Amino acid sequence: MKLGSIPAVSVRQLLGTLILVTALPLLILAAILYQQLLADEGSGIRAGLLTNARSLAALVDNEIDTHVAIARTLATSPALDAGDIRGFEIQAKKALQELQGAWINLSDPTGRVLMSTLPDASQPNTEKAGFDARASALATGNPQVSDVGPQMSGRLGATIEFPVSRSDGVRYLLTMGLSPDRFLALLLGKFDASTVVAIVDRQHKFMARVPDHESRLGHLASEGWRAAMAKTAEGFTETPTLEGKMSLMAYAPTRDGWTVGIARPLGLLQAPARRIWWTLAAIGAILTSMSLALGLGLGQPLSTSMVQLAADAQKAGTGEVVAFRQFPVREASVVSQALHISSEALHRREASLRDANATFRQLVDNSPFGIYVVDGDFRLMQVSSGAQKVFENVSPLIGRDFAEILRTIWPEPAATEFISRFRHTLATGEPYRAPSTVEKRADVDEVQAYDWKIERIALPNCGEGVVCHFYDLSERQRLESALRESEARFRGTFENASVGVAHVDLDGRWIMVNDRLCQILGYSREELTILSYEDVTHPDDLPSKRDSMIRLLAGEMSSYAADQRYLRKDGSEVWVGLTVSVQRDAAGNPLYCIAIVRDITERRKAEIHQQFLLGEVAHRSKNQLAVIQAMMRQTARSAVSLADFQQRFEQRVHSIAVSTDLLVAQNWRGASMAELVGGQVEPFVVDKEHLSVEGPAVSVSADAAHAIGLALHELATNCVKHGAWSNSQGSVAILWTVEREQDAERNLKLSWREHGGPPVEPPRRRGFGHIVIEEMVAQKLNAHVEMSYAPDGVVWTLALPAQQFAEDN
Amino acid sequence: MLAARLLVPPAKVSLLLLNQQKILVVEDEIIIAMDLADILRDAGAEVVGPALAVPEALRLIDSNEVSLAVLDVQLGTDNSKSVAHRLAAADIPYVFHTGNRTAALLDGEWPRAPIVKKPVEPRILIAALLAVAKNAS
Repeated sequence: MKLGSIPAVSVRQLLGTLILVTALPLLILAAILYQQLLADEGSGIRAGLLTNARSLAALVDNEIDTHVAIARTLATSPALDAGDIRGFEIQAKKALQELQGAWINLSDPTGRVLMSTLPDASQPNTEKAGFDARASALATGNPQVSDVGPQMSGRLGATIEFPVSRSDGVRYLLTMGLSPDRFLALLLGKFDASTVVAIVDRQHKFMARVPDHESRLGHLASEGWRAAMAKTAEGFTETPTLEGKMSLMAYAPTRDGWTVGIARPLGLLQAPARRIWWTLAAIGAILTSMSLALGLGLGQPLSTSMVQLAADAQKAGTGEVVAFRQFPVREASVVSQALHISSEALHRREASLRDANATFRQLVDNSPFGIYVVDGDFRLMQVSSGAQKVFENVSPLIGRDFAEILRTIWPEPAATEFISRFRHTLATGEPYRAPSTVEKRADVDEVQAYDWKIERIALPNCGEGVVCHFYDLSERQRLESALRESEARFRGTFENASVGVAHVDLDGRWIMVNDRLCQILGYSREELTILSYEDVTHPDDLPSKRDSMIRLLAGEMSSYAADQRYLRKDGSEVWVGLTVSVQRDAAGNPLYCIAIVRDITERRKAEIHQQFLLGEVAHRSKNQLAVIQAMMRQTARSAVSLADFQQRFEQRVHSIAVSTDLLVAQNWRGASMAELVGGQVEPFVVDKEHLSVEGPAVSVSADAAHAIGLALHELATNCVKHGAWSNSQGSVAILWTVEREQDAERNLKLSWREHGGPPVEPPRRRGFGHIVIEEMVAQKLNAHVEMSYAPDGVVWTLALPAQQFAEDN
Repeated sequence: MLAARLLVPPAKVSLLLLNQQKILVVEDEIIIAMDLADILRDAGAEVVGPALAVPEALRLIDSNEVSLAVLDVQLGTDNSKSVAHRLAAADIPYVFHTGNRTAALLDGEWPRAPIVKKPVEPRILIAALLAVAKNAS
């Protein structure tokens, strides 16, 4: 229902209308009754008026009859027979005593007045106004009443013409004056002042009238009355009186053709009826108003109830539970109760519908699989998270026309075909399945493959839709190829690894080994795969390895790494750095172990060498300190002064330092002979002229370097002190050669020759220097040393055995 | 000699603690050997050697009535194990005088003897020798 079409009539209006409708017949009835009453009343008044008019007409007749009776009596008078006019006059006057204001004339048929009771009446009244009563009386022989006109008395009035007949015909005419005053008297006192009552003659001229008798006498009656009298002799008319008052008039004729009329003003007549009318109307209005007020008062709670009920109903419509209300109107309460119950039901149903809807949405939305729903209007309604990717280029997506979407992502004619499939299923409910649709996408440069199925479903918000379940085969294909690639990469990594890699089953058997491991262990692949790791582990390392494997498989550690020894096929040891981890299934059960094996033999060697070197360094330094300490004490023993000691000791220490520097530079492997000579001897030489050094490139051992170095130092010291360099002429020649002797043992021959110095004297005392020069070198290096103190100059020669030197290339 | 007075430990000037001892010195480093000999002589001892290698040492033991010995452990590429055994067998007390290679002496193949570490102070060497000498007598 459209809201705009609510009729604009309220309950109160309807109630008011109802009351009015109910009251109306009553009001109409009242009006009818009133009208009836009014009509009855009217006719009663009319009848009364007419009766009055008739009565008055009868009174008029009676008055005329009174006069006629007098005239008749007089007509029979014997005086007339005798022609005794005087006598007759006396009789007439006597008769008139009963009729005040009346007069009598006696005339002959020609009109000659014979007698009159009027004092000056000589001529008969010949003036005829309307009806010629004289002529008529003469013609008919019956008495006639005239109309109103001037009389012989000089006043206005009417007459009765009475023919006096005898056997010979009419002899006399007796005229009797009818006084208007006597007729006025008939009218006076009979009606109230508002009533007009009148007697008119045949000409409709007033004979008498109340009111204004004197002024109206002889004048014409009102036009309306005259018109009415022209139509009927007796009747009613509503007409204005001469005073101008609208009146109801009843009128009745007299026997002689006159008319009596009574007029009552209409206003006066209608006043009671109007009073009744107004009373009735007032009562009606009051009652109706009361009814309306009551109705509206009663309608108020109803109207309020309905407004509240309408609000409740609206609330119920939104699914809210409406509370039950007690209304002053029972039906409203009943409706409220019904509304309450139905709103609860509606609420529950809506809640369950909402739940169902939410569940449906959630089911679809959260599905990792490809699901989407198209509604009955062919709009995309829902897309599962697993289906989002397919529509990633469509925006907006939800609520979009599905045909449009399909045309966006698929090219023609595929899109049109898909659309018709969906429409068909939506229309017929027939499901459709496409096991493998391979199509190039329109929106992305990619061929995709889908297994899809559509079927019609009832949507939770009622109505029908189509649900599509699909499986992205392209993804699977990609996964498969990725898996293949990964497998290949694994193979490549496994096989080409620079380290040994092996899969070991839980019994310790090699399942899979790579070439590098075979190479490390010296077994072929076939040989290795029938061995267990225990077969190749060095027995010393086996207990700790077993322990580690047990802990590893028990899950106490995720992997372990250790350096250990393997036994190669040829029985030799090989040091390996081993890292083992466990591959487990989804339930956490160990499947196999992965072992990474690095050959660390070289590293071990290097380590051992390094340890050796460290030990060596410590040993040598301790030894050297011991030597220096001894040297210090020896120097002290032969020193002549503290300054002498200090100088000598410093020089000797320096000499040792020079040799040590050379050895360190060569990693302690040895020292070049030339450098040793240069380092030890050159500092003593001021002029290079005084020194010649010659010899092939030869390295000497560390021991030799120290010993020879110190010997050269002592020789140079002595030389400066006592020998060739003690004057400015002497010089020293240092020469070394590699010599091969008969027994094929190579020797390094080193010689120190001085000449040009002061004459040589053999030393008187063998001091530290001599011990170094002559004994230390010989003893330490297993060398042959000769020292000669020839007068020409000192000659020191050394024959160094082969193991103490090497020839450099 | 002034310098010697200043630098040489007071063993020499106090008591000749090693008087009447014939002490074999086995030491391949001739400078050290010389020094040891001088220290022992300063302490009143008679020095046998020094022997720079094993054969010489063995010969000197056989040919002298050695009462004490100072043995270097490493002798060039050789070592003094056989000398130690000979001394032990002859019930001649001795001390090892060596660098830091003491671990080798504990492997069970060597007779037990006190060790003095190079470089040694003369009085410690003398004290060590006196200790073994006293035990021996």
